[in-house]
Amino acid sequence: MTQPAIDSPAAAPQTRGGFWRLLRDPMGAVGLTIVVALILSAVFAPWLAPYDPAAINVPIKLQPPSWDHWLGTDQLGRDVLSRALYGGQIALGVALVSTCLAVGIGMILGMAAGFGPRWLDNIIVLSFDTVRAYPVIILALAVGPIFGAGIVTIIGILVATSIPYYGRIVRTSIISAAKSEYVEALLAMGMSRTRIVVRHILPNIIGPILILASMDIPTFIAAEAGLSFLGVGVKPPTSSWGLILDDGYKFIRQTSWLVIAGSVPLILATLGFTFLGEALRDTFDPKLRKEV
Amino acid sequence: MLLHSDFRPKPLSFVRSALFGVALTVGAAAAGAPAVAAEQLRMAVPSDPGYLDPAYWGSTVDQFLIDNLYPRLAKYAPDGKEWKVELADAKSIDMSDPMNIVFELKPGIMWAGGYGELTAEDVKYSFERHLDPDLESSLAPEFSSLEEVEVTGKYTGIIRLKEPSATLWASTLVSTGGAIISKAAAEEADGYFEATPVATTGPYRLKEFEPGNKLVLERNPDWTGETGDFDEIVLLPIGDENAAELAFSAGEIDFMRHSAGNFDTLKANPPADSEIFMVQSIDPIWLGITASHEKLQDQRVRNAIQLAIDVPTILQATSGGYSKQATGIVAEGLPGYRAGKELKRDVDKARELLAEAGADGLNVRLDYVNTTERNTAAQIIQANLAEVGITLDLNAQDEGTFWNIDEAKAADMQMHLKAWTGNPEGFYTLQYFVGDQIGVWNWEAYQDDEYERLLEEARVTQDAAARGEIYETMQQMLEDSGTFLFIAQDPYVVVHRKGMVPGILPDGRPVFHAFKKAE
Amino acid sequence: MFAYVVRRIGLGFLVLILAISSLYILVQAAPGDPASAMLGPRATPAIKEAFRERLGLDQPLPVQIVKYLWSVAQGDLGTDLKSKQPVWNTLAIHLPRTIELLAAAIVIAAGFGIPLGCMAAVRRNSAFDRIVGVLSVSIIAVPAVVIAIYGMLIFSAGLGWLPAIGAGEDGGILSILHHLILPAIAVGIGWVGYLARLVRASMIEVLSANYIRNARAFGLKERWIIYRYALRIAVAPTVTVLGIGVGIMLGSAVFAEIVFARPGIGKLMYDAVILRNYPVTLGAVLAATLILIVSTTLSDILNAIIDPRFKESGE
Repeated sequence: MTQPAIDSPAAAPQTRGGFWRLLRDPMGAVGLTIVVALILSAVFAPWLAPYDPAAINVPIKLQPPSWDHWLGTDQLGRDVLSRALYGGQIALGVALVSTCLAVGIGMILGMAAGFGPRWLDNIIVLSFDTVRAYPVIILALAVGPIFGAGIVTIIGILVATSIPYYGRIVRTSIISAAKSEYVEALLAMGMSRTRIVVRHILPNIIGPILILASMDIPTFIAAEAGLSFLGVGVKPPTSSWGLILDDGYKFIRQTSWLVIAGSVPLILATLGFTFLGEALRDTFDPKLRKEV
Repeated sequence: MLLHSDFRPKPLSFVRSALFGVALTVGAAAAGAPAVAAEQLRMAVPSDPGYLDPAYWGSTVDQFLIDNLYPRLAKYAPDGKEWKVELADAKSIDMSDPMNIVFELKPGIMWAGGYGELTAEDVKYSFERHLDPDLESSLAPEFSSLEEVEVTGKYTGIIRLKEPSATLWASTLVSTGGAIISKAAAEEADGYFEATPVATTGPYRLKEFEPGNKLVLERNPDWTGETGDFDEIVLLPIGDENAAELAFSAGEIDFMRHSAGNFDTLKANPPADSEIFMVQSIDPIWLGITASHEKLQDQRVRNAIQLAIDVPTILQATSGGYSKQATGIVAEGLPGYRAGKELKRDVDKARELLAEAGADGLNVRLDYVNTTERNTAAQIIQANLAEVGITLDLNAQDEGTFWNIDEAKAADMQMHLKAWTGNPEGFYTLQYFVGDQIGVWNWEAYQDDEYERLLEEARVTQDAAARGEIYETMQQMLEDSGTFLFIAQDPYVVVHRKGMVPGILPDGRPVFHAFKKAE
Repeated sequence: MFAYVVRRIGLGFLVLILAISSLYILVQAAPGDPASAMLGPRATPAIKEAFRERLGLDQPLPVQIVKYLWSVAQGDLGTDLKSKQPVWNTLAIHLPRTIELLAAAIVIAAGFGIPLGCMAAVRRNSAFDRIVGVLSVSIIAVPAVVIAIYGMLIFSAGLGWLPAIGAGEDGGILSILHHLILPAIAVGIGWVGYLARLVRASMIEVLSANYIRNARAFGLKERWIIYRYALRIAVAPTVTVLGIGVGIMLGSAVFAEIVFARPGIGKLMYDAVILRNYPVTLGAVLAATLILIVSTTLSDILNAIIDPRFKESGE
């Protein structure tokens, strides 16, 4: 667990220099480039996509790449490039929303556990441990069909299973920070616990948490694709890399282009975020490295 | 004696139900596979069996096993080309009196598991139990013209009918519904059994069943009749036709039967050491639009859905253009086929009807079995309906879940896409769209007094052509009501390993013991 | 120390009980009646009622949960609603397949990851080290499902070298191994990179430790130092990580089992969930948890064997 130093000065002035250091790291530069490209392609998918991703054109089904269809067509004659671009919206959307919710809720619960009464701490830690006892994909399989496939279910599962991760980190940080002389001094000065957490502890742990979160994004992207592949995730007509991959798997004897079209963006996205996350960590918080 | 000339079979026969345009794959000893597998006939099937009681069977696999494991008086010959009824476990059948079918069983057919010999008492028990209201047999309607079975000797009996129904024998008794079970074994099981058959006869018997993994049949040592070339039949549950094709090309399966969608690519890029051909089925596929659901109560809405859907495109995507748009339940070439009545797509008219009905922002659910082919069709339907402003929620289910229906599910039926095993006698599908069957097999909740009157008229009409005319009217009524959108009768592709002669019915369905190794 | 161990084990049990109970509630809360789903289209209300009674589904939820936990404690996982066999029998078919898959994946991960990491540490900052560094981060990032599908695309569907479906359990040990290759790679390859990084990091640490310096000072051969002393110690964290990583591998195994239609816990679970065969669903999750516990324990024991320092500190 990380225990960020509590008395370190705010990092703002370093950020600019850090950004250039990040770019000088080849991994960081590659990661950042891929991530920016992916975000742009997802945001501008409606303008970039040459076709409506849901437009069916059966007479040209399962075609290899051509000038008209750069990534070929699927079993319904839909343009795979357009589907992959829109799939990026889902992948990034699910990953970002899940990360924000997981970090947000995890921090609140972690703070409640770390700075709250003992009984609350016990309950929260116990429920964290319970959730962590399930392997994520297996839990998703068991629970997904109960709530019905869909984006909300995926996000729910991803958030529920990652909250304990962030929650525990925050809790540990707060407990160790609470023991520090600095905080004890603040308490002695009569400052309220809430105020101490919000004003003095939180700003120091949020950086490392965000770096860890950025390293979790590829996991979320892979999970969305995987669950959609299993049929517990995104449903048609929504496009998802996992669904393209599923089509590719089904028509694997007819064409390999669908597998490629579904997997390449997925691999790029997970690679890009992993590289970026690694570089961010090395640049801004090398201490975190030991944890991995 | 023998088969009365009146019931010379038309092409095909089978009881309604589950047959899905899915890969039914049969495997034979892998050519070039390890020696252990040389005596195995491996068959990939869409799912595990669910109910091996003829009264409750639902899935394709249930049907395979019931057809292959239980005795019957007569059955279709594994001819592969023509639908031909031959005597099975009966020595003789006399049908000269349409009200009284006289049968004599072959002596010495032993039930596996020590349940003794197959007797006329078993026949009586097996057929009459469908009339027992407590059993709630799903075959009750098919047996409704049965009065009783009179046992006249150990092996002999008379099947007495209430009315001169020409169809009980031709479509029920020779196919799955005619399965005979052991009275002693069934009574021991309190008359209720599921995925484990009570007692069987025939060339093969159950060896082991690992749900989700495989079901193995082995030679029946007590069987003295015709037997197959393979020591074991292995059924592998592979729900998706593309997965089965992959398994075939990887040498894991040696016989399969699936939808014709990949026929072109299969022909162009055949798996090694394979033979590929196409078989015609008379299995109707249709889109059912449940009339009783609150969202679909307005007939204009249902008609709009019918008109919005592009059936030719569905066929092009799912069966590579090898199937023809259906005009009803009855396949082309059979009495009751509605020639030239294909429904034409009309998006403008569909929008108009929806506007008239004031159905804005309609959101409905489509249930279907999760196979590649159905998924493809469902996505086209989804896109078609989006054009007229209807949002379609796709609900792909596994085969078992799809076919099992209870009250709650029946009440929540909206739209579903399904195929039934075809039957040359239109009656056997058409008889299910009556009030009594709502919540059972009439998922469309279609109900019409005139239709039910016509059905009764058809039941006692002896002339097949005259019955056909009645069926045409009935199918027209089904379509006009907006509850049925007829899609196709599917052709299938059969792929098998070289070096074997598959034992199949004309639609490619496997008859286990008829698989031969080519010399 | 003893008190801590007892407390830790007690907590573990509590978590296990809570995990089973919450899963039981979730599974039972699913829409649809297991009686209808399992008994089929035309089971009469009386038959359904008898079924519910037999399974205790007519009782209040807390009672059901306590009963279930009690029977689990006695080693009874209930009856597979589909095969009518005890759930244990169903698990006995699938569990060995998953365990062999995980074991094979671990062999691949360790077999490639440890040597790569070791070599990278020895040739620190060389081109080789950098390549391993980038590769290991890259492989971790590729989802198992993608690797499984590519394996199938290239080696099964394309070249026809490796089997596309099943576990080959009827064809003897060679057939089983043949069927294991692709799924095991799909599950294990991501860990190759992970282990390589881990081994590299701990190896570098160990190589700079005092006693290794001493060994060098005594003139022991470098190769001897690396393989006889340093590697043994550096591998220890690998074992711990693999023990915990089994949870993640179980997730990857689900994909491998589905892509290759392989019997196993993942596939069993997938099918059971769809069919509302909840005793099997619960049994499969229990089995997965059990695998986790066993593997972490095993990794602790192995750790003690490999790294003498670990043993000393434990005493």
